[in-house]
Amino acid sequence: MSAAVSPGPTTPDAERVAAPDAPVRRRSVRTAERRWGLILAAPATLHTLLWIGVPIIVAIVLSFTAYDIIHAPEFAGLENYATIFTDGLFWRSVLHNAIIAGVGIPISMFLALVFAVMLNRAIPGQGIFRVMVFLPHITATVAVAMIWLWIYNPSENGLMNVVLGVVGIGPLPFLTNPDLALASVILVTIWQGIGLKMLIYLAALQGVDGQLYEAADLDGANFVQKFFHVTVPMLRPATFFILITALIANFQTFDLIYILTEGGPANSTSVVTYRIYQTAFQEFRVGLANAQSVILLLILIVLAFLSRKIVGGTDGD
Amino acid sequence: MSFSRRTLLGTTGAAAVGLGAAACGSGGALDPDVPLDLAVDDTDLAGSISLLTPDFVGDDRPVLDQEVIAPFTERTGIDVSVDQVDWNKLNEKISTGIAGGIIADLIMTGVGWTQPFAEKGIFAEIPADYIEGLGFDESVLAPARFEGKYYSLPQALDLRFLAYHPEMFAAKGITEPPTSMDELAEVALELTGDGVVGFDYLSGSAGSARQAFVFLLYAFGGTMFSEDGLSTKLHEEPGRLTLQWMLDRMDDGSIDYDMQAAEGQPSPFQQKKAAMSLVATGNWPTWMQMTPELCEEGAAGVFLMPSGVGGDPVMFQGGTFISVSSLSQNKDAAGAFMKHMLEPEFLGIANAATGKVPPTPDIPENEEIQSSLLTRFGLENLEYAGATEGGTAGYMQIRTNLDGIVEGCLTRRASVEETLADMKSLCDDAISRLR
Amino acid sequence: MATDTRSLAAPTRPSAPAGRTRTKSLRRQRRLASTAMLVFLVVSSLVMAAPFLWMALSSIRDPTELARVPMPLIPEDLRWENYTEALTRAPFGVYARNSFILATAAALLNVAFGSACGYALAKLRFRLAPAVFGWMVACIMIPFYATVIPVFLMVRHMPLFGGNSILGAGGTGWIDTWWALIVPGAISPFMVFLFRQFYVSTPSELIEAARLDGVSEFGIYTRIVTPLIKPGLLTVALLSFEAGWNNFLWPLLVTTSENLRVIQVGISSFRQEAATDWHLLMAGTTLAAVPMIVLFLVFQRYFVQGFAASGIK
Repeated sequence: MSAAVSPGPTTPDAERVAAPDAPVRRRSVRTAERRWGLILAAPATLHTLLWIGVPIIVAIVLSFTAYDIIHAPEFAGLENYATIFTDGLFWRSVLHNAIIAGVGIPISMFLALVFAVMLNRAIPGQGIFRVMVFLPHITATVAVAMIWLWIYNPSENGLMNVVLGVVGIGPLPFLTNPDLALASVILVTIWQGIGLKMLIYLAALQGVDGQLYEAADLDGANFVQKFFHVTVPMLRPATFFILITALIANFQTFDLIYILTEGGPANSTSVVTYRIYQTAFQEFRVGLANAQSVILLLILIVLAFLSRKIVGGTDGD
Repeated sequence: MSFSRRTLLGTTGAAAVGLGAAACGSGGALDPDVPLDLAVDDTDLAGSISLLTPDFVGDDRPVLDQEVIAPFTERTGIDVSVDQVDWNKLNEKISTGIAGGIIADLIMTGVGWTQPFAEKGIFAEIPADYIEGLGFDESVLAPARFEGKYYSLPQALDLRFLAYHPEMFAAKGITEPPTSMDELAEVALELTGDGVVGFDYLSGSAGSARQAFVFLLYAFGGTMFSEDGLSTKLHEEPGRLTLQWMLDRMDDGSIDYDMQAAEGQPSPFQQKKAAMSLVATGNWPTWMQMTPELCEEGAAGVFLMPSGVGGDPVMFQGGTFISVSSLSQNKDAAGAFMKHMLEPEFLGIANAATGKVPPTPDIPENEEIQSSLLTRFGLENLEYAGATEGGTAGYMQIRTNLDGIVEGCLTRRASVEETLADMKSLCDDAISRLR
Repeated sequence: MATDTRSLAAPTRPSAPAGRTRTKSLRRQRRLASTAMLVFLVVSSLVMAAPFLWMALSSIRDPTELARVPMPLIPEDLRWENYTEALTRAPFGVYARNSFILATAAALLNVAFGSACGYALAKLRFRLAPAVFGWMVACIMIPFYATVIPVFLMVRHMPLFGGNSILGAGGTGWIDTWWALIVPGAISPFMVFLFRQFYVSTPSELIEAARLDGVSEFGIYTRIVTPLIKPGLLTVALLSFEAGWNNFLWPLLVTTSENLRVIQVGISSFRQEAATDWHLLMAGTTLAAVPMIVLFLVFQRYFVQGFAASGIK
């Protein structure tokens, strides 16, 4: 019963279960486990080592060079990193990412969880509702961004301004006002992010033992109590996953910005990946762009550790 | 010292990467110094070449394949394979191609790209005697030059000028399009009111904030860079006048920065919410689709951007320029195909398909091309197409960063002086980095 | 779990001996709550789907309507020929086939290798496990644009392919081949991570019990534990398929010929430099979304609560 919550592999519990067995047998089991751990992990690990690991090493090496794609890379020491530290726009972009993530992720995670829990119950039209919430994720980002351009149209033809007009506000220049543009972008990221998070929560909910709810029912818990005391703790691995990947995805937002605002107006929606793209592929300063990527990687690693603290870790890890 | 460090680095890189020397200098087998010979006889040509183009999208593509390439292949026996990519993915395609040493034999890019790629040795020089024989206007050849030599040729143009609603002019008793910047300002203000803005200059449908700035800069007699591309000019007096002019129009309400039509959306001018507008020849298909009434004879008037300093009016020039890759292993064949594409007959066919403007009016009578009021007007005024972006080999680094700086001024995040200073330091920095 | 029951017991608990009237009002309350929930769902899911619905409406709109002020929300005459026109613009048959192959390959490879790795990381104790897990998470953090040039070089210099020598020079390697489209992104660290999180929630006792019964390690992975996370398998398959289906930039970079291009390339052809064919773009995008919607509709039916629980006790 304690199964689903019980932390994974390295718990003393698990050891104890196996304890009654003969020590010899246990040792052979441990050897087999170790061997199969390696075998099963090998294909994915080797594949990523080759196709991501090698390029990362190249990227890191290049981050210490001046490389314009055409001429051979030339060693530049820490120059690229020095450039970044005085590059106000880069840090502004980092800040924008932090704001988008800080505001957007909690909201979309919460909404996703609410949707997932509601849509996990047998209700009429369940499938249709699920599709509708998931639709933003299915549609290619390019199209999504172009549709939002229409929704944000500053004239009375923009859907958002039509809605605001009913309440007597507007019309508002959502994307051309530097004070509004970032908020407009955040709204789109929230809307776009809910679907995937809901799906993962929904899938994770399938693993929640129904007996836990039965037990809670016996205890007379109401819906809200069950939500906070059964559902939320059971979804911790999913939450951990969603938080980390959403953070990473937020810091890699590109297509959306590229079409919605191109980082404008006046760089008010510039984000890190957009800077990296510009530096590498519009300015052809690949060395500098790679140094920016390394900095981004460091930021993300710190954030990943922080978020593990927040969620309390999944278990043994 | 630097050499040994570089060697060390190279070795480390190679060891770690396992790609060997091939990775870095990729183009080992190719010789960028082989000159392009355009006089080779057709019968001496053979093999196959590739063409990288951001144009000829969707159903324009069959026209390129069947009506432009097929006759060439028939005549010369050279196979031409086409690699078509979006304009906004062209950078990535060219970068990875160059890094991998497998860039196409012929590359089509835009205005402002020639000098950076020529400087980096990616584009091959095109013999001047051939170009002079083409009889193209000087204004369309300027963007193809770097250090006095030619590295590309215009295959298609996208021209920008101003349009107006004649009935709105008539309602205010305005009979003639303005002929000076002051007049333009007056007229714009006069036309503003009743939910109509006088002049839509910044709507995205005809370029970015940066291009709007560059266009006006030339109208005020300015230029972006010195002739040799090695010193910055855009921050000088014409630049100041340009920014101030736009700010003044926004102050009096005749230009509305927030009235922007994004990609795929009808412009305020099409919706009659703007009396005058910046327009591009490429807007015509959209007009035909969304507001066909605007395409009827006399429904829209057009005029060139008047001069702010009592000189000639100006037209903004963008376009698609074709270059031969210096890494090409079959330069002569590539050169032959470039010549083929620039023959009047094929210029007509290709531009009729893409909806762009041929770089010369001397093409066979073409109904498709003549049917566009905008294209016709552009062709008649090619000699004024002097407002062009770029002009320095460092322009790739400047291009998009300039947008943010201009927007900063237009949204009052920076004063005119700060903006000019920012522009100057951006450009100086890029130029100083040239090797 | 223990903590959960304890905290559950603590809060105000409705006293057990409830009268009949009490039950009735409770039932009414419950009905009210579920009606409220339904209303909330209808409204909020409509908001979620609104942009998509707007896209679908645009896809049958006459372009002249787009310029009208104010634009009618519902298209006045339905132009279904937007669809036929969109389809004739580019070889969509070939594009769709390519995207389908790409997406299917991604789904199969990720389910096979991603689940193996995810299972090992979650349930098997081996020395490298923490390192491999950290590595997978780090991999997700690398932006595409940071590694695209090195990956492109590796593909282009693939030894003994496309005319390349054993040193990877001389030819074009995997460029413009299916290899380049499928292999570099075949296994996504994101999916490995996701699998690991699914496996973490499965009971370890089951594995120990199976070991006592003499089931092989591989058998435990395939026959005992993996069936418990079927929703996880479906999720990964769906997400990988979708990522493959919507992939655009990488396929564009490593192919040159039309017959290897993908559906998003076709759709992007409606966005030209100066003019975007809005109605066709919307028609194309709506069409491209249909297979995904159908797939999702089919898949989501398996998301029925308690599905996995049955195997646990």
